[in-house]
Amino acid sequence: MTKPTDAKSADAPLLDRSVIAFALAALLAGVICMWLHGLDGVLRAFVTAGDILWSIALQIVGGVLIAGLVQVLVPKDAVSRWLGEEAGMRGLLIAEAAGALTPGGPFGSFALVYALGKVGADIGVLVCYLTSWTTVSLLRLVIWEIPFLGLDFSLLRFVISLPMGIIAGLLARRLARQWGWHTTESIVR
Amino acid sequence: MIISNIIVWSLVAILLFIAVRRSRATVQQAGRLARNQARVLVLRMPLAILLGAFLVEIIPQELMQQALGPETGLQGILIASVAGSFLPGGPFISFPIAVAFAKAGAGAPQLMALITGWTIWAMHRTLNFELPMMGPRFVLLRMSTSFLFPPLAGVACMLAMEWGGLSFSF
Repeated sequence: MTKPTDAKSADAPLLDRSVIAFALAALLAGVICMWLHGLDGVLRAFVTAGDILWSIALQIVGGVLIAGLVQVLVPKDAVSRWLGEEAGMRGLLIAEAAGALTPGGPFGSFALVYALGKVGADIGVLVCYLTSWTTVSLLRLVIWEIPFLGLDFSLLRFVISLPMGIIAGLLARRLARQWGWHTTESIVR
Repeated sequence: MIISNIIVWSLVAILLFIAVRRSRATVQQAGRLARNQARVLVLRMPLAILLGAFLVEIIPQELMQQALGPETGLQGILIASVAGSFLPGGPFISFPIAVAFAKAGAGAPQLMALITGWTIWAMHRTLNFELPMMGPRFVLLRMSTSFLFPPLAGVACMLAMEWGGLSFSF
């Protein structure tokens, strides 16, 4: 899991618990593969892995550079200002776009939504933003999805997912009213 | 692959151009962030891909086709939606596993539901981040608005393939 970083923070460790977990899982799967298919199966898996890695390596390098550049170029306060002040359909459209453009892991996005919820931003806007961030994140599309699953499939998923944020936002407003949760402060912990 | 590379590297060029025009410090800061991200991925990703490749070998093809194959229709889409919600962690592990499922015989609509289930339901993210940070009311509200999206995405993909004549290979 990537944590938000700033210029002062130390380098991410090369080896941590999750890398070791991956290594153990791969080792276990490798042993089962050896047991089922012998050395041939293991070699076949290495060839498959090598093919995939070779075909995406250049895109991942580009993707990592894009992630770094976007994080520096898109100012966080601007996003928070747009989301905090807008409501109505316009608010949902802005939230959808902001979610699609937000890079990075869950920590940053939830912290932002929590802060906005505490100051009473519209619940529909917040739910729309989170749904858009999880479903149509542009950075993830370019860096991960297209290299692994191909352009056609990834674009179809993107198009199918585009309305989800807006629908979720509209439903959230309606449900919050029905359930008697009239202020965003009463919904956010 | 060539088209995706062109997209990615054009974006790099455009963003780099903007950053260079802004200031030298901006470029350096972006470089530091990129370097850090690269350190996170350099071991994790090859391991995740290798894990995926082993899974292709050890998941029985008949089982995969029976559970998530193109012929499983709505039932396969529902199974895939639930399976997706249990996929762990970030994209560098979920996408290699999705590719492994595809190579082992999962259908495109089922894959669509799997990935959407991972993005919307995402047990790991909901339990580790959303519940402790946002509280149970928020989680309940968000889930209620979108729990149908993963199967709906699978059905939309199925319709796009049937009516739009789309087909995919992984």
